Amino acid sequence: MGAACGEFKRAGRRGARLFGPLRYPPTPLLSLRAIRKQFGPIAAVDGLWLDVAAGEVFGLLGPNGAGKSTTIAMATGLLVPDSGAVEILGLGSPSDPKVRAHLGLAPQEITLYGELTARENLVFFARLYGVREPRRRVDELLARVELDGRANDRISTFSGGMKRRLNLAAALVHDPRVVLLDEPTAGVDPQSRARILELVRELAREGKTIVYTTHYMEEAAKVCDRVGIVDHGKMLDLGTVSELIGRHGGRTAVTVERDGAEERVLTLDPVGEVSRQLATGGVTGVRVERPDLETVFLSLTGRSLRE
Amino acid sequence: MSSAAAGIPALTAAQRVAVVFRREFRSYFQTPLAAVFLVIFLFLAGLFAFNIGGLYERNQADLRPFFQFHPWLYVFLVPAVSMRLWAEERRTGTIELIMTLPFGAADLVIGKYLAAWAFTTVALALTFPVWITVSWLGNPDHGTILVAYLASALLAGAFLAVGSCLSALTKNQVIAFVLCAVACFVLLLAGFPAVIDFLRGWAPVGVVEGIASTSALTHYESMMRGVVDLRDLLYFALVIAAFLVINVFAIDWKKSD
Ligand SMILES: Nc1ncnc2c1ncn2[C@@H]1O[C@H](COP(=O)(O)OP(=O)(O)O)[C@@H](O)[C@H]1O
Ligand SMILES: [Mg+2]
Repeated sequence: MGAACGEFKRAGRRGARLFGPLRYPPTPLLSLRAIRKQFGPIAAVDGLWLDVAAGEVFGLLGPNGAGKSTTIAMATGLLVPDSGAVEILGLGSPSDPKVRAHLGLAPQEITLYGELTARENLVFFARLYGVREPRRRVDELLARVELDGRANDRISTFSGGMKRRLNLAAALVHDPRVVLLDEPTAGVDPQSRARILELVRELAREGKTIVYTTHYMEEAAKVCDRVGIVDHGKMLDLGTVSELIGRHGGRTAVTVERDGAEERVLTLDPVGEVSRQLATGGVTGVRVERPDLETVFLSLTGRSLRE
Repeated sequence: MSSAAAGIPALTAAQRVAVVFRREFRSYFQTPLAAVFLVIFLFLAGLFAFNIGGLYERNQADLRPFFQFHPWLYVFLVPAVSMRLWAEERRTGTIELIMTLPFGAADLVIGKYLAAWAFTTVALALTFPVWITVSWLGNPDHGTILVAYLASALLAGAFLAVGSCLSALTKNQVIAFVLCAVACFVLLLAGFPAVIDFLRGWAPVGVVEGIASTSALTHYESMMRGVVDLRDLLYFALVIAAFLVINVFAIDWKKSD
C-alpha cells in the first residue's frame, strides 16, 4: 500500500504540472501498516492494516482477545510492533515524543490515581502536558463528562461509570487531534454509557479523529462512521456498517403473516419481496429482519461475537 | 509542527520534573505509609542513639553510634519507600498514561526519585533533637555531625536509586521490597569488617581495597569521620546516576504490561 501510495504521489506531481493543482487523497491521521505483535506462541496482532481519516470515528469491533488493545498499544507507542509501522498525522511513529503530543489515550483499564480527587488527577496530567490555565481546562472537561459535582472527591469513591468518564476526560486534557478509546463503555451504567457515546459523537463533530474499540456491535453501529472487524489479530474487513452488511450480511428475512400462518422468506431484495407479497393480498402482518454486524461477524469468522 | 500544534507550550524538563515531584511528594502524605515510616524511623533512630548506642554512658558527646546504625535502618526502610515508586504505577495501570506523555521517561524517573529522596531527607532531618541533645550534654564537633548527616542522606539516596530501578521491573510491591533490601545489603556487604578480614586472608591488599571501595559502607564510614572526600561524593553520585539510567531503560523497555 505504501508503494502504491508513492506511485500515486509521483503521478500526481507530474499531473500537477500538466493540469494544474491536483487533489491528493488526504493524509490519514492514523496509519497502521501491517503491524504485528507476538506474545510467546500467540500472534496478538497479525499483520494489521488500517488508515483512519481526519474527523472519522473508526470502530475496532472484535471479541475479547481479538487483539484490539494490543493494536491500540502499538498505535500509541506503548508497544513497539515486531514488524510493520505506525504513522500519526504523517509525522512519524509514536515512539517520537513530539508525535505523541497529538494522541490522547483512554486505556481499557482505569488508569488514574485512586488517592487523588477527580480534579487533581486531571490537573496533574494537564500540567504535564503544559496546558495553559490547567484549572480552567480541567473544570471545562469535568463539566463535559458531568463530574463537576464530584470534582473534589477522591476517585476511589467513584462508581465504575464515573471512573470511565474521568478516564475519558484524562485523554482529552491536551486537546489531542487523535483520540484512542479502548472499550470506553466496559462495565458502566446505562447513563454513563449514553453520556460517553454522546461525547464521542460531539468530539467527532469538533473534528477529532477517534479510534474506538468495543465488543458491542450495537455501539459500533451507533457511534462509528466506519467499522473494522478484527479477530485473531487480523482486520477481516472494514467499511461503513451498511457496506459491511451489504458484503457479508447475506439475505434479509421477510416474514409474512396470512390467516394466522407465517411464511419466512430469505431475500436479497426485501423491498421487492414485501411489495410482491402485499400484491398477492390477504397479508395481515410483515416483519423484516435485516442482518446486522453480528451476522457479518458470524459470516466472516464462523462464530458469534459473544462466545 | 510539534506539541505547539496541539495548542500547548512545551514545558522545560525542569518544569516537568517539578510537576512529577510535587504529585509524588504529596502522595506520601495521602497514604498512612508516610506516618508509619516516620514513626518507625524516628523510634528506631532514637532507640539506637540513646539506648543501644549508649549516648549517656559513653561520656563522649558524638553521634557515632547513631550514624553507624543508619545503613542497617535504611536496608529495611528505604525499600518501603521505593517499592511503590514504579510498581504502583504498573499495578494501577497509570504507567500507560504517563508513558504516552509527549516526553521521555527520564523526567518522570528523576521527579519521582527526587520526591522519594526529599521524603527520606525530611525523616532524617526530624532526628535533629538527637543533635540538640548531644550539644546540650557536651561539646560535639558540629562539622563532623553535619558531614555525617550529609553522608546519611547520600546513602539513603543511593539506596533509593537502587530501589526505584528495581521497582520498575515489577508490579508487585512485595517483590520490589525484597529485591531492594537484598540489593542494598549486597551494596554494603563488601565493606563489612568481617568480609574485609576474610578477603585479607588470601587476596593482595590492592584487591581487597578495590573490592571494599565498591561498598557503600566503606564510603559512608569514610565520610562519618567528618571529612568530605571527593571520591566518596563521586561514588554516591555514580551509584545514583547509574541506577537511575538503568531505571529509565527498564521503563522504556517495558512500558506497559
Ligand atoms: N502482555 C501480554 N503478554 C502475553 N499475552 C498477551 C499480552 N497482551 C495481550 N496478550 C494476548 O494477546 C491476545 C490479544 O489481546 P488483546 O489485545 O488484549 O485483545 P482485546 O483487547 O481484543 O481483548 C490475547 O490472546 C491476549 O491473551
Ligand atoms: Mg482489550
